[in-house]
Amino acid sequence: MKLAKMSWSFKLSAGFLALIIILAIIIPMFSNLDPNGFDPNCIGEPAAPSIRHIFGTDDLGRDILLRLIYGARVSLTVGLVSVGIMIFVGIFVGTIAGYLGGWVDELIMRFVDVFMAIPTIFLILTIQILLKPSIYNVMFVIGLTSWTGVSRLVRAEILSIKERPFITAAYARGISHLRVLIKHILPHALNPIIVASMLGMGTAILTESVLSYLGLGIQPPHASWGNMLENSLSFMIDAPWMAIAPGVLISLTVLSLNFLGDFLRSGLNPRESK
Amino acid sequence: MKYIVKRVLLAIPLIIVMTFIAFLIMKLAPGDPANMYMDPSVSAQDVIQLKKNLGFDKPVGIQYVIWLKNILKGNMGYSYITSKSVFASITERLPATLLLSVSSMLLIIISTFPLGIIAGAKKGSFFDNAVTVLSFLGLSIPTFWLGLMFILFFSLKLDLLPTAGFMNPSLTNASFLIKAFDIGKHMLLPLLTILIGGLAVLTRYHRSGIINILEMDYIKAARARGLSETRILFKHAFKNAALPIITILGLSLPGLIGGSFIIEYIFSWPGMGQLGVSAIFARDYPILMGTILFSSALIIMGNLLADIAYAWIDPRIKKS
Amino acid sequence: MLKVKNLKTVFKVGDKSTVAVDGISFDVPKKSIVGIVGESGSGKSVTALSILDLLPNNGKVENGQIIYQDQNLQNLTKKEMQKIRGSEIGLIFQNPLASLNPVFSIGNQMIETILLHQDVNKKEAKALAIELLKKVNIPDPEHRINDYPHQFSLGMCQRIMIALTLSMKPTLLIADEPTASLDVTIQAQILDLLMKIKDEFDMSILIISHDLGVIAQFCDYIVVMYLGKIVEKGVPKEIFSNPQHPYTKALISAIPKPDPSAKTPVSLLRGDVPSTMNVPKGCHFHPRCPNVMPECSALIPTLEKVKNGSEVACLLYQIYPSEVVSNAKADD
Repeated sequence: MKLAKMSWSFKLSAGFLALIIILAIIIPMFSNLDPNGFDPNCIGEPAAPSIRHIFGTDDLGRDILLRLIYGARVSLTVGLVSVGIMIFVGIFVGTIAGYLGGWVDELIMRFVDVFMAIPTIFLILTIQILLKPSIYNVMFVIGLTSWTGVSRLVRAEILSIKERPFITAAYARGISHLRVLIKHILPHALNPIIVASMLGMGTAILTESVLSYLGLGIQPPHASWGNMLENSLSFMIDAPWMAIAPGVLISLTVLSLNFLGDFLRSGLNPRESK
Repeated sequence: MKYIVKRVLLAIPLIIVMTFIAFLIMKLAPGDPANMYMDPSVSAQDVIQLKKNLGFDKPVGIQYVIWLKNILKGNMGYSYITSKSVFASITERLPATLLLSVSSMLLIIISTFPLGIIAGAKKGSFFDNAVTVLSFLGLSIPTFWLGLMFILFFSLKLDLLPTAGFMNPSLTNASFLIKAFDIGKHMLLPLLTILIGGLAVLTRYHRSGIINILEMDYIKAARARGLSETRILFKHAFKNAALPIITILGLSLPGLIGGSFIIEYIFSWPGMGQLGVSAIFARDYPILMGTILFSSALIIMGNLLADIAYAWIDPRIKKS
Repeated sequence: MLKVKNLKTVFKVGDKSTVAVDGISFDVPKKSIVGIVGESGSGKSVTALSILDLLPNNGKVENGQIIYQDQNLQNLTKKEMQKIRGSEIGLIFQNPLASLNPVFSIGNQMIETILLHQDVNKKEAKALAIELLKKVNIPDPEHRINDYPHQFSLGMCQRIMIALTLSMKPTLLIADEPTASLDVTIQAQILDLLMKIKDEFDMSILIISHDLGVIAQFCDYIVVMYLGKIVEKGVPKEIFSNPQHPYTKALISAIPKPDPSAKTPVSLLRGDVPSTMNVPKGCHFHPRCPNVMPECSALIPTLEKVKNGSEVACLLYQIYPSEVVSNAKADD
């Protein structure tokens, strides 16, 4: 990839993400400030943005900026772990379907079709109701409901590559099936998987925010971008900053992830011209 | 024709599995269903009798079959909260959901075509870049938050549109036109919210579809015959690009419908989605299961329609 | 009728420019068939696209004049050029199936074109289309007019393309590799068809091909191109019996002859055709030339008339001194 040719959107996105990540890691490590602690001057009603509280406070007097940073930790973690699960299951299922082919492939793909036909949000909400909402089952549930796209990608790659002459040549050299799979076939799927990961992370963050907003995700008092929006509706008229700040942050983060993912997609694919 | 039959046949096992999943969810729900229907002062004997009536003493497999038979007869059980028939509760909500979903889908399709065509034809232009950035934004902004922002801006700050609901109840006896206009006012914000998300997804695909098509030989040949760029774009390129859009629309149905449920909830739009989401919070499992069944069925039917439409329009499939 | 003078077409690839056609000149007189022959990279297809202003976005005609019936096509506006396309100068492509829009019936596409170029109503246009399909030997045209491109064979698609072009009644037809994707027997049919319509419709044809066999069959005049330049021009008889340029000689001797007893010496060329990004300095052909001389890497030969009537661009035959490296002017 030619570094010099990277567009400004790429640099901006990467820079923004880096900033968020750094803040999310460093601030909790080095600061004593308690995101759940309230400013005694502001109890009772949310304070507008001021020098002391750059983004204002919420209805319990907690500084919003600080909560946003701690919330970043949550959102990023959820994003990463969910995507990890998504990739793992997706690669597993996709590889079995694509490599073995035949009725196994048919069966698995029918199952995937069913899975994809259920509105994911609904499924997630339902499952969260059945279990007790916590950060762990949020990550698992998101991961376990978003793997279908990856599995299709992986399956498609495997199907298109496994009949190619150079693969047959590898078998002819006596290399075992497993080794061929891992060393020769799967690396081709790497590109789309990386792209899917970036985009998947964005989706995971969005999903987590919806869940938390509805009270089925990260539980208060812990801060998450989603649950910071939870009671903002009632304060919308008087304290709009409570609702605006977390949403803007979510949007910008997911936007950066999408830009990066799209950039990687066109950067890694030599045939596509933007 | 054979193609259509094949697709219909494939949809059936899909529906069956769907019902099984919905049934499982019902069964997994914590709490004894029998208790849900009654007050605690009832005697233990009656509880056992009720359980027998509800068929809970039979093995799970048989329960599933009985349940399935009931479903097909239209008996989906009764709400834990209102004790009203699930089937009735959902069907009375269906029109509102259909109104919102179908209008939004139509709007999305109508808007994405010119946007994608012009952005693709003028690749790299200001218009194209603007469309691309806006599409990315549309994909990245949380839909529910967008809805909230719209409410904040248009309803609360500007007081232009109502915050929630379907229609001003004082208008129940007003003329059809006035009612329709009021419903439209209520529908505008939720519609807009769905539109932005859906448009973002489709326009990107459409745009790249157009870009690919414009490099095809038949486009060059059409130019060589002296056809104008407008005709080439809006007739020759368009029809070829429209086909994959139908498929993509089908694929994004689950996302669109799921999203519209949340939107119904936020805007208190009295549709199936709002019912379902509320049921989740109220732990009203029968309603929940009914909603899952209905929405999944809607999605599968939508996909089927998309497949049929595709096969009908693409002569390469129709004539083989 | 068509006079191309010093045509130079360049393409922008990244931040570099490559010259695809480097100052070529040739004529296509009325009612004649001129053939441009050359291998890949010779610039022959680009020439056709340049004439009709159909170059892709990164291509541009940098220099030269394209005079069609006393009008310089380079000076026309986009709308005027659009009128020329099809109704004056037609173009058919190499891949006939890909040249037809797969989602519309051939009737739809033909009627569309007819309505655009002639003052008739839809019914008349349909009748005309059926007539033309008959003329190009498509069986059962009344019914097949409603069929879609994928329902025809490649050979039939090419006929349909020819019918489409005919419907516009051009005076010049440019055929870019019209038979390259067809089987040999079908090739013969198509070429035959082209001959027939040339006579019947009084057209000129500019045929572009890499296949000397195709060119040999019916051209009145042959232009040989290599890497963007014309190396030899002449009548078929002379080109085939007395090729002058070393490249032409190699091309001729490479034609397989079905006579086992005749063992003609095959003039083998070294190396491959260089990419247009790396055009050799001086004579474009000199790195592969069996008769190369030291001055060939420094001087660009110009086209000059030689004894047998052909024009050749080769320092072997050069009488007048040419200019060093860039800026070669072809005398006509």
